[in-house]
Amino acid sequence: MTDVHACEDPELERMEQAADWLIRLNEAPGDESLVSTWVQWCDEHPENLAAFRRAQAAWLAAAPRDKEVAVAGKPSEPVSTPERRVRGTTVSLRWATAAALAAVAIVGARLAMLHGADAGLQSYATPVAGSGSGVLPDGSKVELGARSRITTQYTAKVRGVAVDSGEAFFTVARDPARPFVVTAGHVQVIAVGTAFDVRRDDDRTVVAVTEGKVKITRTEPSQPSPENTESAFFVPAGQEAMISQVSPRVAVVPLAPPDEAYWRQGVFKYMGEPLSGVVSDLNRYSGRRIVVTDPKLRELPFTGTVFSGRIVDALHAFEDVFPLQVIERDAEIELAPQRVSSSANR
Amino acid sequence: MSTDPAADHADPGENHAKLVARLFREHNEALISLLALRLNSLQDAKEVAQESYVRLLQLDRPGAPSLLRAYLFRIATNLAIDRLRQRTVRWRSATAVKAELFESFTPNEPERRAVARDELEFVRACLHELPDPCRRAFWLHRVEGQSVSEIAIELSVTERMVRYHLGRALIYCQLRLGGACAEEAKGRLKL
Repeated sequence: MTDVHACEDPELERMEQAADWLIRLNEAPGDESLVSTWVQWCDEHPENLAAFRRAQAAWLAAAPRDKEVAVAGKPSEPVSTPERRVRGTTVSLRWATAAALAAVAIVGARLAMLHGADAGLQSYATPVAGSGSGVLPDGSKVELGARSRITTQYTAKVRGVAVDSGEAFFTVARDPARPFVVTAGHVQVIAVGTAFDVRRDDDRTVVAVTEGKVKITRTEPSQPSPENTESAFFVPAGQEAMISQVSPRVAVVPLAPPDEAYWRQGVFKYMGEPLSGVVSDLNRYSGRRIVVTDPKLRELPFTGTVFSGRIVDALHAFEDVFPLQVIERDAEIELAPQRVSSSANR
Repeated sequence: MSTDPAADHADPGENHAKLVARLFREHNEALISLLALRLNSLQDAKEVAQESYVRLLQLDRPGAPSLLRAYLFRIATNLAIDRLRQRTVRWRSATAVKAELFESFTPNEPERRAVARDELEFVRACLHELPDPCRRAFWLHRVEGQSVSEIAIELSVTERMVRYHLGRALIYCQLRLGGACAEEAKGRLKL
């Protein structure tokens, strides 16, 4: 905050700081160090947190979660974004649940512009911390997580959907003649009639299958051939595949049980946490001490879920996404760099 | 990193409870604020915060006291992510959907909703008063849910500039909500 007028108006300066914190915290939900510096800022002056909360009130007022709150009918769009004039703004979407949906914005045309005005392209997006659901043109259902965006491109032969960011859960309508193909980064998921979840982070894609089964292929950016049969594999219901962008190996693990009980066990979820931090958490629950000494390994960012009751499984899953090997000894478990082609690994 | 586990046990659980109580006193407001930001709901934020303290209290080996605060925020963040996931219907049963649909229809809700609706309309009207880039950035971010980097590309400005616009728009709405007229608010922000 280095605005010229800041010194004349200390209250405004505090508002600016509060707004800045709010925007940055909102942008990086997993950034612990940011949270920690923000807490320090809150501690610095009793007025700081109060200012933050006032900013937050206005922030919430601008896009409330409650559907009933939303202005009925058309959103009072104050911006005449040029993309809005493109046809196919998907008025026909029938939203299935009430929560947060009024705030769901449909921004298909923006992508249509990017991709050269293809009328078949439509996109659906949810706002920050919102979620939404809708019915796709073929009757398949999609539920979007917070800050998620998908783009559909249906042709006579294929129902194409791209997960651009975030998380989407699909319940696919049966149509054997027209496969349902979901692309997330370099991963392609092909389904005929099934239900599955696709979660996309910067460095990996997770596909969780709850019904039926899906076929997954990887399309490497270097080799643009859409179908590489050698790297194709199937994931059945009740399993979850984690496909890393950096490693050719894929981890397929059982899905976490859908009941509430697992919240009670220690469940750790991470977004970009260095492996050393993950391990130090797990050491609180592990009977055998887990050791990582290699500095490069310690820095590797981990995103995902670990159950404290299944630590050893989790460590072995790390073998699949990280260049490391698990060495189990009586008193400790060591995570060591993979010996094979250690020079080639990052 | 982690110290000798035996050392942790030297601290009786009572001590741990005291530390958690202190964390609650000193940081509860901040924690709820942060969670409300993540979850877009004050009620959910309070619930998640409460659950976080419970989880923190239940730790068998709580570790170094100085790490407890960071740990509290991490637990809370994890729980918030879980709650967001829950909302995505991934595991949502019919009853959960129903509960969510009807949770806001408790007796004095209509009033609160009416206030919120008025505020929403007011804020959106305020946005009209802002200069174009400022208004567009805020709309795209807050209503359409685009990220700062996406908006930067769309508006052909730096991410820093997008954050600047967002901050201005937010403060402007705050001032207007706080009772300032358009001229006052603009004058103060030198718009």
